[in-house]
Amino acid sequence: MNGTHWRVNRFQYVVSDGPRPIIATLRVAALAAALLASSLLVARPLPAARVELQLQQPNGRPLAGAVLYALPLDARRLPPPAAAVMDQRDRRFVPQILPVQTGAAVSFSNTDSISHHVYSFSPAKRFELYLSKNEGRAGGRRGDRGREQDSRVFDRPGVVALGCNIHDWMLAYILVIDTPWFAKADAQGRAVLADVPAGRYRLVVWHPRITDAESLLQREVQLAAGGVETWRLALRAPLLPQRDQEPGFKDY
Amino acid sequence: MRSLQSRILVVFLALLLAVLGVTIFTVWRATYRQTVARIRDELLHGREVFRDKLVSRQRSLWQVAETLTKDDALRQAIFTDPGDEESLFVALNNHRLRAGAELALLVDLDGRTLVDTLQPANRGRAFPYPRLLVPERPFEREPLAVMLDGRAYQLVAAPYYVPVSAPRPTLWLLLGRVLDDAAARELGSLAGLEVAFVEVQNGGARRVVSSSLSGSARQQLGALGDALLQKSHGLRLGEQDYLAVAMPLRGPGGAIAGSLVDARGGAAAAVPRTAVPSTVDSVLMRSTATAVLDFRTLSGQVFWIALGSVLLAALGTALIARGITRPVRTLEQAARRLAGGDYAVDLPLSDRGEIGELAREFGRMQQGIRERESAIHHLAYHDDLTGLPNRNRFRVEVGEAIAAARHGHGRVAVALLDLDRFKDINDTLGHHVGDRLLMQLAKRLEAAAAERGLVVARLGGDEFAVLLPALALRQTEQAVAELRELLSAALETEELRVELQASIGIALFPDHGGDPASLLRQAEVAMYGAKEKKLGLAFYDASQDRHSVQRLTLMGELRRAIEADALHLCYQPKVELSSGAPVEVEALVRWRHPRLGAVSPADFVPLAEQTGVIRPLTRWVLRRALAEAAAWRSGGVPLGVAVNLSALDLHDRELPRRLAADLDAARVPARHLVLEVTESSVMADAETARRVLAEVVEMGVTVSVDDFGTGYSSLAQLRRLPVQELKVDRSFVIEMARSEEAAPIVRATIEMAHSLGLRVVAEGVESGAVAARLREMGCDLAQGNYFGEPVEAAELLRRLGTTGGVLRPVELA
Repeated sequence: MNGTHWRVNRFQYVVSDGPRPIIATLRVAALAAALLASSLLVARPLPAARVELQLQQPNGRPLAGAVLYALPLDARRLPPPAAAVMDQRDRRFVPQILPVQTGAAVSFSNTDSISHHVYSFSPAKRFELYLSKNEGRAGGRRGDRGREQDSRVFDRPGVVALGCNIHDWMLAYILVIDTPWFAKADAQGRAVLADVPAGRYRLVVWHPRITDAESLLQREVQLAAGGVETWRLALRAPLLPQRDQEPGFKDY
Repeated sequence: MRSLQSRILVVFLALLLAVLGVTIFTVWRATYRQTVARIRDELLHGREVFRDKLVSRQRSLWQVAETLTKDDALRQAIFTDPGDEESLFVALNNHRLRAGAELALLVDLDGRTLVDTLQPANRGRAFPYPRLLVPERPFEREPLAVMLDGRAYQLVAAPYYVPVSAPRPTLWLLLGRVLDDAAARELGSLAGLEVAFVEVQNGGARRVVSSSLSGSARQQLGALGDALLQKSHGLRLGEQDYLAVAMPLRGPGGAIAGSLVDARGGAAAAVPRTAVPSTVDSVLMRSTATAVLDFRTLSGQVFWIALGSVLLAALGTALIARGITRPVRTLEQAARRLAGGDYAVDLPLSDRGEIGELAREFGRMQQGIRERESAIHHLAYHDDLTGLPNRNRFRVEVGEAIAAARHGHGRVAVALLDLDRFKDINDTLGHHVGDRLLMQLAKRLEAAAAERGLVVARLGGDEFAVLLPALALRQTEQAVAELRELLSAALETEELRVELQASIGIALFPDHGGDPASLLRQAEVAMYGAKEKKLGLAFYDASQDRHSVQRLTLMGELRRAIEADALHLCYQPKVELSSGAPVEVEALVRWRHPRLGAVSPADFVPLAEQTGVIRPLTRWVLRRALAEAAAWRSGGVPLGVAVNLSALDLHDRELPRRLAADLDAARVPARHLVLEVTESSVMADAETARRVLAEVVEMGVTVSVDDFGTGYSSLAQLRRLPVQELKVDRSFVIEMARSEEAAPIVRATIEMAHSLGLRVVAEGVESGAVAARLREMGCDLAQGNYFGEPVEAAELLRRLGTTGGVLRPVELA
């Protein structure tokens, strides 16, 4: 019965691929604006330093998506964590790598017209979440309710690997870290922490496919106010293979 | 000795057997090899099937394992509540059962066993085969088995990704299928082989873990060494023969199972090791029983075919051999009868081919033998020269005639004909003339004999024999007389005309002898009698016979003695009366007969003269005397030597020539030789004698007339002869000693001889007085016992040496 149902869903997904839900997009934009405003309020008193990472794979190409974060080594009060969203879109997690500060609530949404069954067996956060398909009707109301129900607070630092019980290829990581200063490398392998308060930090680079030793992936730095720390990191060990590719129809 | 037939049979059969043997052996070997090759092919093919089967089992097992790693319920059980071991164990075991595997394991990335469905107590212990824990799926290529808790398992490890698409596994899920007897039987039946799984312990010891075999065969397998790994092998297990080959189940490169070295380095090494693991080999066996059974059946068929062909060939060979040997045997029997003298043998001439050719050749040989035998027979019984029957044939004829005469109480006459003086013809005219005369004679005799129904034979030389069967004595005489006439008729050759006389001796059956040999001998005796008495014809006379036999025998012996050089000479000196010195010696022949002792020359010389033996005798004496004279001369004693000649010698016109040759050979000057001839012998054929003597004298030889005074010759006749010496006969000289009457005769003779210019020798001087008288009478030489009896050469030389050359002084009374 389950199998049949699943197939019907797939079929429906294909025919309803065209229209994109506008309401969800607006909602994300509003959330981002709120986050930005609150961080500016907190960081204001301290003069900021800038950290730039240039990350390169062993084959010379830039590595996108890696997370650069700065762990403060001196005791300080950190700003409260900002909430984040993990969406299911086109049968993928979006984003696939989501760094959050410890204690942040991540809400799970489903933009697809099929159901997903998110799970994590990572010690940092074990959970399971069934996300019904978005049928495109009474989206706002359902979205509100979903936000309450489908959000999880990640209160232990660590890597939380997310999978979908229905779609084996779906894979996402939520990196729970004890810092609000993190950034993801862009397509050019560039990650920038623009406003890090001066002080002592451990800079860490993380990506699920990196296999280099930890010593290579982190360094301690003293960030001076107004200074710019540039880190050109060339990875040495080959990356782990990418296994989260949706199989084509031909595979079935 | 084996017959040709059996030899052909043996050789042919031996050849056939050899060919058959080689053929059978070749077929047998080829078949055997093919059988073995087929078994091996089946075995090796079976091994490939077996290998594929094992690999596909591993693949499907892995697929099950891989699917299990995505199973939500199991994942829940594993990860939701890590502390709940019991639930996890039950869940895993449940999934293992669902997958149809005998073993399921969970191993973490450090190689630590988390769950072991077979041995729960293994939790926390190091998994002993860390090399299995790789994502490269080695089991997809090579069969691989490991030992766990004393049993062999096919074991596959699936990485446990959480979430499913995570780049890095979280755990390993292993599923194992046991390789027990049932599995061995199942896999074996698929490959058509017997299968065994053998644990190879680290030290090399082997143990059969499981097998499709049972009983002792299974136990014996364990004892096999690594040799099985190399190539197929003959094995005997229990009561069965197998061809076997081993295949290790150690994964690609043989290094996956059994190694404790972890590819990832440190982490696994930190895990305490349990035991040194073993590896697993499979042994695949193909029973040779059915194939060998086929092979045996084939061998049996080949054997019977070979046996049949040998029997057929033996039969055929025997027939062929008989075809060859039967005519050969016929020929052999013919040859045997031929050897026995039977020439009327039927030969298988009609036969074609080699045998017929042989038979025809045989026939020609038979004909040749027949002809040659008759020729030999003719030679044996016929005379070469004349073609008349010879002595042998004649003897047979006489025998037959005697036998016939015995029946009819008739008589048989044997006549022996001998030509008078035929030897002279041979000697004077040559043998070729003599032979021609004999042939004419033979023809004439043969014609006459054929007319009268007689048998004529030539016995040898000039001797013919005639057989007159069953005739009255008178008729015999008449017939023989006719024959004699026949022989007396003149014979003519191209150049001359010869008249011959024959002497004939006749012996009669049954009057004289009872067998051919004695008749012939008796006829010969009669013939000699006739010849001696110049009768022309004589019948056998028994009284005459004894004598004649003795004489004939003696002459034969004398002839042999001459040939054997068994005679010897004695010498009596002839002394010069004026000086008493010996100037010559007279050679006198002596014959010491081995049986009769010394035979007097007075006995055998006349006989020799009669029978003609005197000629070889004279010749012998001459040669010997000359040889000894030569020896004396070289020894410083130059004595002349005198030799007596007979009348026959004087009629030999060859004498001068031979004498010259003998003198030359002995290197004795002619003047040292004196030839003494008797008065009578000279007178018998005075003309011939004169001619011969003249020649001799011309050569320088002295001729002396012996026994002068005993004959009737006159001095006038003597004067015509070329004579230089005269010997006064001993009777006159001996008489001189007794009476005075003889002296004047001697004196007159001496004077007369001197007047003719002859030297005078006195014989028989036995006293000095006589010698003195003779010297006084003017006699030149003397000879006699007074001066020395005849002695042998050595004695003569001795005496001459002791007397200084003077034998005895002549007393002058």
